[in-house]
Amino acid sequence: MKASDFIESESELSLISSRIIGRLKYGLHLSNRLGNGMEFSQFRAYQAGDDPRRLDWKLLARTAKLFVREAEIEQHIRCNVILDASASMNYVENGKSKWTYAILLSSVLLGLAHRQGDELRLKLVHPKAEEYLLSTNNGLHISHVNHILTHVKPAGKWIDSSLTSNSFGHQRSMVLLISDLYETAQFEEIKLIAKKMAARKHELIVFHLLGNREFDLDFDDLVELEDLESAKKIVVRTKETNKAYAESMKAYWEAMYTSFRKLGIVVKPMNFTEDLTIQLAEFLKQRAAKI
Amino acid sequence: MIGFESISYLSLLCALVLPLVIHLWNKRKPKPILFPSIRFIDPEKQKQWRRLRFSEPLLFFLRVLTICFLVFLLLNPFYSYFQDRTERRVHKLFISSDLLPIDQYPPITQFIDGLPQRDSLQLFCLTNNGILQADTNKLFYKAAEPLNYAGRKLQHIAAKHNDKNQELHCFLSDRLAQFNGAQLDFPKYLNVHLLPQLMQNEEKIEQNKSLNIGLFHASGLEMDARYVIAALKALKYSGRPLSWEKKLIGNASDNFEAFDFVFYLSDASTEVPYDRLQNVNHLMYDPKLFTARFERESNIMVADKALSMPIPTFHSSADNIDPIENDQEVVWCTAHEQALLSRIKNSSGYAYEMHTRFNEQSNDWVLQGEFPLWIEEIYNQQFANPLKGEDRRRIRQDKRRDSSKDQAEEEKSFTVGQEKNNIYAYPYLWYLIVLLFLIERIWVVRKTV
Repeated sequence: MKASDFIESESELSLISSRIIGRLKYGLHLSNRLGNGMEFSQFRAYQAGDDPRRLDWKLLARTAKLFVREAEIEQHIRCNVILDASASMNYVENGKSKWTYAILLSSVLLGLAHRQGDELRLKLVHPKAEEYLLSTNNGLHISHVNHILTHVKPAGKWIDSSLTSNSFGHQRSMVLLISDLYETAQFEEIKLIAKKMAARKHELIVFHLLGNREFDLDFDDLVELEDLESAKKIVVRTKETNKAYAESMKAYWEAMYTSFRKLGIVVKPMNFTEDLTIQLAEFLKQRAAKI
Repeated sequence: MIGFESISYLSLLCALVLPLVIHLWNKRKPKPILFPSIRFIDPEKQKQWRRLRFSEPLLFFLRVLTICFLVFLLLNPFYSYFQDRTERRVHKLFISSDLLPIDQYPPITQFIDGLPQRDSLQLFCLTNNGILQADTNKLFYKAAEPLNYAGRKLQHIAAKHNDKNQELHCFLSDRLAQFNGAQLDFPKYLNVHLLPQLMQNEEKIEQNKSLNIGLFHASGLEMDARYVIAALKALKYSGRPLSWEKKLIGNASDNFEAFDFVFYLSDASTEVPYDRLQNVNHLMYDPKLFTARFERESNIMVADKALSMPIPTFHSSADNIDPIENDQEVVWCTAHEQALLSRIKNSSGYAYEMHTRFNEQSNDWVLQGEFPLWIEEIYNQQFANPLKGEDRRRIRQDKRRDSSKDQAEEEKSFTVGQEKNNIYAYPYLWYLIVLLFLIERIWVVRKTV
């Protein structure tokens, strides 16, 4: 993808995401897990609590030791992508749009899940999310996902959306949150929903989209910053402000990352001004190594 | 009356561009940028920016005011006023030698008449040889002495006479005035009155009054009379027409009063009319006979002393020897005269020229030496065909026409019996500028911290 380009059509998004998916070696999760199945995998020593029915009696007879027979079983999980479509995602830096990056990342992640045969679900953090996602509770086709993504325009705030912790049902699933993680100090809505999802044993991965200037305020000396969500304006002399700003930003993200990690949530910072494929491939590689 | 001493610094007002540039630079509009969240930006900065925008015009005004005062300081403004004096003063009046017949020139006589009765007056005449008191009537001009040296001497003399309780006034004719304003910076305590229009009157004076010189000599002193002839040659440089008459002495009916200047040459065989000689302007005589009595007189020059003086070094007028800087015997003469003097020196063994020298005791420039010994043929060669008076005036008029247009308007007014006082503003301006500068700095520091 040319980072400066803005994706305008579904076919464009499909093409770019499929090319990126094609270059990725690793998936989001292992395809199979060990358990009761037809395909033998290995013997394992019996441990207290294991079902006695899984004991291999023949081996017990030969060796007088207790072994459990394990076999590979195919696993299909539900892949939920929560895409932050609040107004702050409209930010553009050096001609590169955070929103374009976000929909491309969503498309690629859902494409990966689709490749692994998972059930795809897309949740939008948007005041009018329901208009875009009529079949919220049902699985989506990847082409449908791309269609929706190209038609959504970020607006409103996170707290305006209808997204709740119940949106994902009770079944354990993988939740991929794509957001710039700007929340209000009053509600802390992102932390709250992450906490609830973690409590429901969902596997939550947060992709944090951030630009360079967004972090260090590397603008001209005198700028008037307009908040994309609240429309408030503030005149800033960047040379005098950027140091304090960067410090408070760093402290904020570190606190948020720490709270996520305590909940077992994986956080992946993504610089939307840099190449998506490289950053995602690196993440998936690290993830595969951990699994 | 308010005046400025250094009006040329007015051009520094261009520095007002600096605060204007700073003001415009700070007044530029901020670039609008859509930003995801301003939650982490201190809102206090916004208030500060509003304060800054409000204070910008005031700061600009403060800076402009500071620069204006700084330029005003460099202009060195002063307020001058006249104040009646009560103490008794000595007025020293320097008059250009061209203006010697002061009774014919109203401004000077008006000035003298206007002096308070309690004050005393000392009258000085400026000649090319420096300064001579008017009552001595020594009117022997140095031949071809550069006039700007006379201007330098005037500076020197004015500085020397700058005593307390004195007023120094100087009346300069066009002849010396041309060295006054343009080339010489006269001390502030010397009130210089330029009289450029005087030349018209002066010419009338010159036309009407010529110097009538009488040369009385004993019968055996025919050769010595040439000293006087040399003096006459020098006199021609005064710019005045002159006539002279050579007579043998010994006649009781000699009418000295008929001449403006009388040169009286006598020897031992001549009976000298002592009483009558007291009124003679200038006298040369044989010192073998007359010694003690006349040596005390200031208007008597002794011939044999002159003859015994060493021959000074002659300088051409083109040598630019400054009599003030070079405190030595300095004699100026034209190149032609210098050649003649050399010839005389080689042939006869002695030749003298008047020259000036700074006398430490009297702290003044005085005449040294005596009249040169020039043979008559030299006189004839030089004096028989002088530049005619009319031609000389015509040349001077041509030169004057270019320079005197503005000078005519510059004639200074003066007030007699009043004291001119100047109040300078710079001490107060310094305090004001420092204060404004400090306010500006504190303002800026408070804004930025």
